[in-house]
Amino acid sequence: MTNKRRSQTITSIAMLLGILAFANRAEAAGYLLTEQPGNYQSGGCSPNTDVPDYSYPIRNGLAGLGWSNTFLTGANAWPQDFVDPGDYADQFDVTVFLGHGNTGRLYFSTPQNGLCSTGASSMQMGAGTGAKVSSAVFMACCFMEISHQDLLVNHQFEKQLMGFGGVSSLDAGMVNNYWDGTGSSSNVDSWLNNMEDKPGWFTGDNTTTVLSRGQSQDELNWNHWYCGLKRQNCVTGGPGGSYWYLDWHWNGCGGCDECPG
Amino acid sequence: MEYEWNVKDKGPKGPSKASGRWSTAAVVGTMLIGATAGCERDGPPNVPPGAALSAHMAAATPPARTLNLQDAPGASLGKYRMYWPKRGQVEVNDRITKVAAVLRQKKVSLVSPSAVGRDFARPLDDNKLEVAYDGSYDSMWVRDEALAKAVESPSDIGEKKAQSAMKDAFNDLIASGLVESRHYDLGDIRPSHHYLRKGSDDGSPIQEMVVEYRFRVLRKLNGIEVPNSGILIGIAPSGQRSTIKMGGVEIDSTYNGVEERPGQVDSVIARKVANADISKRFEKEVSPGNEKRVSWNKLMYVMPEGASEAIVEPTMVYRISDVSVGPSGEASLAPAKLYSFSLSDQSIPAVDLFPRQ
Repeated sequence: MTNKRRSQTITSIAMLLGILAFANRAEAAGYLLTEQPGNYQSGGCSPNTDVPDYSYPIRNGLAGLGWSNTFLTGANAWPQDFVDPGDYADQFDVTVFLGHGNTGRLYFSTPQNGLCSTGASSMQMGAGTGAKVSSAVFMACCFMEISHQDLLVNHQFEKQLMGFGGVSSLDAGMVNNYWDGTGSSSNVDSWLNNMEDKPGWFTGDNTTTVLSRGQSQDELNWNHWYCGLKRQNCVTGGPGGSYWYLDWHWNGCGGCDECPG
Repeated sequence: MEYEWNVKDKGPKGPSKASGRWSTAAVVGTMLIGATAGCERDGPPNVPPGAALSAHMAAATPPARTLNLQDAPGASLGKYRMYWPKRGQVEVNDRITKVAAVLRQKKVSLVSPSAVGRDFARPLDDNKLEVAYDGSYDSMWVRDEALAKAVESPSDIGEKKAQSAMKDAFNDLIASGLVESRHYDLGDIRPSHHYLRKGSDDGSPIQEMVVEYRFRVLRKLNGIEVPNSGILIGIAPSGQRSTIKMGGVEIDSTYNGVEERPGQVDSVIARKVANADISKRFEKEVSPGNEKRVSWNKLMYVMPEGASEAIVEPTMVYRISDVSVGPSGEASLAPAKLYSFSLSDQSIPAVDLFPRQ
C-alpha cells in the first residue's frame, strides 16, 4: 500500500522558524483523506451528494506547524487505506477523514477494487505491525454512533479519535474553531463543544464523540484533557493503551441506520 | 472582539432566588425592576417600567393577538430587525460578571481582563471559572472547569432534579436582568447532556456517568424559535451549576402585553404559502428524486449568513441528510444541510443556511 502512486500528494516543507520551533515534530506526518465537491457525484460509489472540503483548517494548521501532509481525494482516496493489515492511513501520526458515513462505516466516492466503504471492525486503527497513528478525526455522519460502542472501543486504538454519533452538520467555522481550540485546550473539550453547533447557532445540532486511550489510568486522564492537535500533544508516539474513556454530547442519533428508537 | 477573564469569588451574597421566577410571576418581577435585555424595546419609550406595568394591568381588555402561526394564506406574520450586538468591554465585563455570579450563586469580581482571543483552556483550578466571549455572536460562556470536566461523580441527583436546578439558575438569570422570561419556553428544553463511559480492554466492567446535565433553550418570537439566540445551562451531577452559555442576536421588538410586535413600521406581512406547498417545494427543489432523511422541519426566524443586521421573517427550515445507495446497496449519509423556505413568497428559492465557503 505504501508504494501506491499518489497524484495529489502535497508535501509541506517546514519553514525555518517552524523547524526550529517544532524540531521534535520534524518527522510528523498527517494523512488527510478529504472528499471534495464533485467527487461523490462523479465517483460512482455514492452518487447523490457532495461534501464541501471542510478539512482545510486542520490541513493548513498542521502544515503551518511544519508537518508533512499527504492529502488524498477522489480516485486517490481508497477504502483499503483504512483496512488492516497494512493499512496506509495507520502509517501516519494523525489521520483525518471527511466524507460520507453511517453507523460504524466510512463511505468513499470512488470504488477501488470493488470497495466503496470500510467498516470500523476491519479498520483496527492504531493496531498491528507498524501502526503509528496517534490521533484521528473522522468527519462522517454516525461513524461513532454510541449504541455501537463495540465498533469503537474494540477496534480503534489511537490515543484519541474524534467523530460524530449522529447525522452531523459541517461548517468551516466549526472546524476552524475546533482547530484553534486545540491550541490551548484539549481535543475532547474543543471537539465536543465547537463541533456541536455552527458558530452563531445555539441549536445543538451534532452529537460529538471522542474516544480517548492511555497506557494507565493516569496517562488516560492526562491524554483526556491535554491531548490537542494544535498544541501538538498526542500527535506522535503511536497509539494509546488499554484504558479508555468515551465522551459524548448527546444531541440524538436520528437518521443513522442503527439509531436505537 | 474576544476577551478572557479570571473570575474570583467575592462573597456569599448573590442574586435572590425569591424574585424573578420563570412563571408568570417572573414577568411581573422582571418588569418591576425594569430589567430589559439588550436593546429590545419593551413598552412605550420613556415610561418607567413600573408605570407601564400598572397601565397594562389597569387595561380592561388586553390587546388581541394579531400575529399568528396559522398554516393558512392570509395569516399575519411579523418580520423583525435582528442584529448581532456590538458591546464595549465595560458592558461585556458587566454581563460576564452577572453570569458568573449566577453560576457561582454568589457575587464575583473579574480580575485580570485581557484580550487573548477564544480560549477555553485553563489548568484545573477549583478557584477559577473559565470565561470566554465571542464578540462575533455576542456569545458568552462561563464554566466551572473542574465540574464540567470531572471523570468521577460521587453523587448524581438525576435528570429531574438537574432540570429543577437548571430552572433555578434560569430564574437567577432573569433576576440578573440578562434574560426576559417571556422570550423562552422552558417546556421546550432540549437535553444535551455530556456522558462519559470508561473501561479497559481487560474486560473490566464498563461504567457510565453523566459529566454534566446540559439543557438548551432557544429564544422564541411569539412561539417561533430563533436558532441564533439561546441559553445553555449545565448542571453537574452533584447539583452544582457548572456551565452557562448564552447570547446571540438582538431583536428589535415591542411587547404589547400579548405578543411581541416588530419594532419598525410596515413589518407585518401576510402568509401566502401553506405548509403543504412548502413540502412539495422541498421534495422538488432539495436533492430532487433522492432519498433524504429529515431530522426536523419547523418554523424559525434565522439570521442570514454573514449579515450583521437584517430584517428577518419566519421561514420553514428543514434539516436533512442526503442518502446515497452504493453498488452494494448500503446507504451512506452526507453531512446534514439546512434549507429555509419563504412563507410569504413562493418564488424565492430555498436558502442554504450552511452555505459552502
